[in-house]
Amino acid sequence: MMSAGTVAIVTGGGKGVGAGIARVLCAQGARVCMGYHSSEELARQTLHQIQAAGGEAFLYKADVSDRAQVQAMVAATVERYGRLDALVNNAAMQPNRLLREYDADELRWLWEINIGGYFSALQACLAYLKESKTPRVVNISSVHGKRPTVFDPGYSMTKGAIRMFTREAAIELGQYGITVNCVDLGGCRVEWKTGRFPMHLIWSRRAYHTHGQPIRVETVPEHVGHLVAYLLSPEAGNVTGAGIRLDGGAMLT
Amino acid sequence: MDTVFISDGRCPVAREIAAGFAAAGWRVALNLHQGGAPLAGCEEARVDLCRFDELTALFDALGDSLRGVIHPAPPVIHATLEGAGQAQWLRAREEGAIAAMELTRAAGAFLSNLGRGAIVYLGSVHAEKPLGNGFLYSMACAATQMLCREAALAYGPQGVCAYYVQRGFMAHDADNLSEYSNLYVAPDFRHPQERLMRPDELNGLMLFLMSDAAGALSGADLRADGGATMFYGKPRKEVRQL
Repeated sequence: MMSAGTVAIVTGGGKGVGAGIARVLCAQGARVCMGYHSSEELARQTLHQIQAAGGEAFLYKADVSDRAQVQAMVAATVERYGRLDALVNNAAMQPNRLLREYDADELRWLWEINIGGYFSALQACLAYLKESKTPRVVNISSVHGKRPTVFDPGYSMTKGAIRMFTREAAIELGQYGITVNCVDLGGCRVEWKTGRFPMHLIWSRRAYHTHGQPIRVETVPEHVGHLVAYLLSPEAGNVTGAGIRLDGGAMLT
Repeated sequence: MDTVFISDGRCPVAREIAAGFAAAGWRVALNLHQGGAPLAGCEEARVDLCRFDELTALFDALGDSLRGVIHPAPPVIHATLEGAGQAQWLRAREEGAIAAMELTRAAGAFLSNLGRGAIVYLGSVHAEKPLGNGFLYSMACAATQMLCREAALAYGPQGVCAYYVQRGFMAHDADNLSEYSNLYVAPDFRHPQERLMRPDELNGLMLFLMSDAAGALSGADLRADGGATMFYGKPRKEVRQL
């Protein structure tokens, strides 16, 4: 179980996977800063759900590709709760463009959100994590950090980079007791999807999330939340540099 | 005469490979835009790899004899996560990711029109093994490794193959020694043959990958490190002394 009163930042915590993570962490007693950028309405809905269930969290609007905004989000969290124990890097985009449809500027934009945001947040949190008794970093990534997509090479490039970002951070920050892991997420049912849906490349929309999947249960954000809660716990203190696939076994078939 | 484009003349390994292709009778276009001295037997190219239009113009100029491109990883930017600055971040993004994508798109489109060809990414074992003092480099290597797999899928139907070569430790990599990793502690003794690899040892592999015989390997990672990263634990020299 997470230590009582764990303070965590979840970027992109207002909707989708991030909202599921925030809900689970708060349900287990953590205090969470939910970073969000667009979709303020969804972020407020998530906050109300958490508060109605007796959890403690607050919203902070920040563009993760802007270092100053990320630093301000971290400072606001520490000012509110007096400390910081965990960073869950989750905010990312997936435009679903084919390789011939990409250009340099689009990749730059995607790089600065999907990796730049993770890097800025880690650097901003580092001084506070060093003071924590259970300092943790979890990077939400994708099965497409290892398996190509066909429908979004820019996205898979950024997820491949996060694989090594996680391993490098694990060996460098281990000296401070900071564990760094990533969750390689497969298909997940969310209420919002960025980018256009790659219909022409998928078996069928109805079976999108479970076709050929050994476990015939759709992954939902709360599944991710429970895995993150474990990784944030003292019991996971020797798990670091790991990429844990969460996809119902889909990548095996 | 077959032609190969080698995208970065700064890379010592790429320069050896260029010399090897020239010695084998190929026409070699060696890109010196980022730096590097001219090389005997090779034509000079000067294109900004982040510019799709410049790359396309170059390939048009090289013509139908172009068989493929070899894209070395950029030089390592030594920086820790804790200490890295914005300038280093941006340089790594441009040299490591943007350049790889634009070259892939331009080469992929050109070779697709020819119905054949190869894109070879001369990467590193650090696409999977962390360095400790070069996260920007290893991130770019991993991103390029994924780009290789995507390129193999995207251009495969047009007869274009893509390969990622993970080269291992060589003498000029000594600066990669870091306090966070054992990989560069006595690297020669990690090698099963107890010596460092030489750049010219990749020439045969590169010639093979540029041939029509390599197609079954499209999308593959080829670890070319002499077996060094299989080694786990203390270098053999230290073990023998126990």
